[in-house]
Amino acid sequence: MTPTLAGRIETRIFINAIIAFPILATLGFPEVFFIMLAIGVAMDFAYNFLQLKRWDGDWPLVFVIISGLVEGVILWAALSLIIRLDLKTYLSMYGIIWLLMFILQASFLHALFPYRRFRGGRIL
Amino acid sequence: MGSSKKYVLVGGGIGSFCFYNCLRVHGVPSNDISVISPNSRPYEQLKLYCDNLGLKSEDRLRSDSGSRPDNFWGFPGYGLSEAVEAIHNKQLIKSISLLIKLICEPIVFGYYTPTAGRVYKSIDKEAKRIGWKDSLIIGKALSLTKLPDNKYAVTYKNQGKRKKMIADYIHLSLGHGGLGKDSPYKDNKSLFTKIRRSGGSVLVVGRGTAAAKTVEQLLSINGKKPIQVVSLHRGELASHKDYRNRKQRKLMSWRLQQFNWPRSAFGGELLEIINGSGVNEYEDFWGSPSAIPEKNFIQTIKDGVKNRRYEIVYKKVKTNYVINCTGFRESTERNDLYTRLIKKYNLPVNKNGGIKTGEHFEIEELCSYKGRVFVSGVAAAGNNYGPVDSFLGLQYAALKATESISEIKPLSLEESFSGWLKWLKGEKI
Repeated sequence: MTPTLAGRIETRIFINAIIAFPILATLGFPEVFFIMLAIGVAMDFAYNFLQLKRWDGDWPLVFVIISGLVEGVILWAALSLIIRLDLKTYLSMYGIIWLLMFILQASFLHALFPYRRFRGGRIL
Repeated sequence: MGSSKKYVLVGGGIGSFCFYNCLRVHGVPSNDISVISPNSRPYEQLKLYCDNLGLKSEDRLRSDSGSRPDNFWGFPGYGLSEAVEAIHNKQLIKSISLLIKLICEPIVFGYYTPTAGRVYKSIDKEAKRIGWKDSLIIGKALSLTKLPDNKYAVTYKNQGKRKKMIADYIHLSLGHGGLGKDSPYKDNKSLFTKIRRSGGSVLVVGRGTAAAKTVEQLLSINGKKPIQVVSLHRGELASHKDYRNRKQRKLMSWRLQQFNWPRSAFGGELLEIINGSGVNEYEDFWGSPSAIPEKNFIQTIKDGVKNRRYEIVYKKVKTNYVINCTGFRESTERNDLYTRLIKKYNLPVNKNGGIKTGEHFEIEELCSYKGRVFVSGVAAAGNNYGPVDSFLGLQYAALKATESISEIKPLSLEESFSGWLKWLKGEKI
């Protein structure tokens, strides 16, 4: 599936809200959710810019994985300015949340929103 | 007076199959639909074209994993299904390498593309699940008439008799019509045997996939008599940069791209751009005939040039044989039903030879406040969706058409998910 900017942002908010928020809120870091989402949305503008540079204008799965790593590093840098967090805890927390979101995005989202793939990933 | 159905689908190929599937998934019962087609299996014509081009069941098509006419949701794609199947067959290494390919595409091993056989098999399976045969009338549609009561009449020939069917909604998807006698999509086995035996020069007209495949096949013949292959292209590539300043890969004057349109024209940013201003403005950049950048093809061409067995010309030259690989896209003029319909209702035709449609692939001149006539596939080319004659394009057209039928409601979250689960389990609907 090839996302548009609007599709990216809507999808991000949706999967973050149903996976990242409950996990982070339960663990007692609700503020991390908002920082994570803000970084992600900001990065979406950059990804969209890069995506349009590609001849096919698409965003293959491998780029989704790379962008997950990049965002993980940026989030770690941002969080270490605000709160004290142990790297090991951070890695396992971010890793699990990201993996769950990746699986949801690459699989069940298609089954729930069949019209998305023809609308640049838009949910609304 | 003939029989009456709510939906009549004229043509029984992949285009009709996608629309049929879309209707069935949205809850339309199979006895509300009739499909009129001379073929019993939806991929019969596709398979014929592939067979004639030399594409066997185990060969891979120019299509991606998620473009699967047998799956309304597009997930799991052909790739994941193939990987799961490999696990069932205890081929663990094959399964892992497929998953790596899917995750790393196109960077590491290029794009995943399904085999023709996989496409045929999965369409058979889905056709059985959604009751395709229950709606199928083996016959040939002859004409379409708009009736004064907002309904339509289709006349068709079935078991030697002329019959009539009345419908509220019509979907036309008749494919490529009659092709020229020297087209590579026709059975050319005898011509190839002749060339192999006699040797000589062959002119291959065109620069699309069929032309590329034909040139590749001819250059790989290692007969006793030498074969000289000449490509006739319309001209050198004037510009291989599009309006985004993106460079198109090329090889001499072959345009090289993985799919017949850039991927985002199927459902991303470029689709939105094309939707706004129509296909014509962008076709030269993105949708002109092109060859797949396969290693084998590129190497064959390069070797051919090096060994002086291959050249490209821009003006016709005299050769022993000619194979015409153009004209696959012009369909309406080759199809009797379309030709008659265009003449009878004075329908506008665009420069691609397609019938002008609205955004839901409806022929506006034939629609009423309730009735709709949709057209899909190659006959709908040149409107506001570029790759309309592709697997994903046909699914897009089917969905857009369904959207404009007021009595069909969009699927809710639960309906979609339960429909998908049924698909996954192969449960009949």
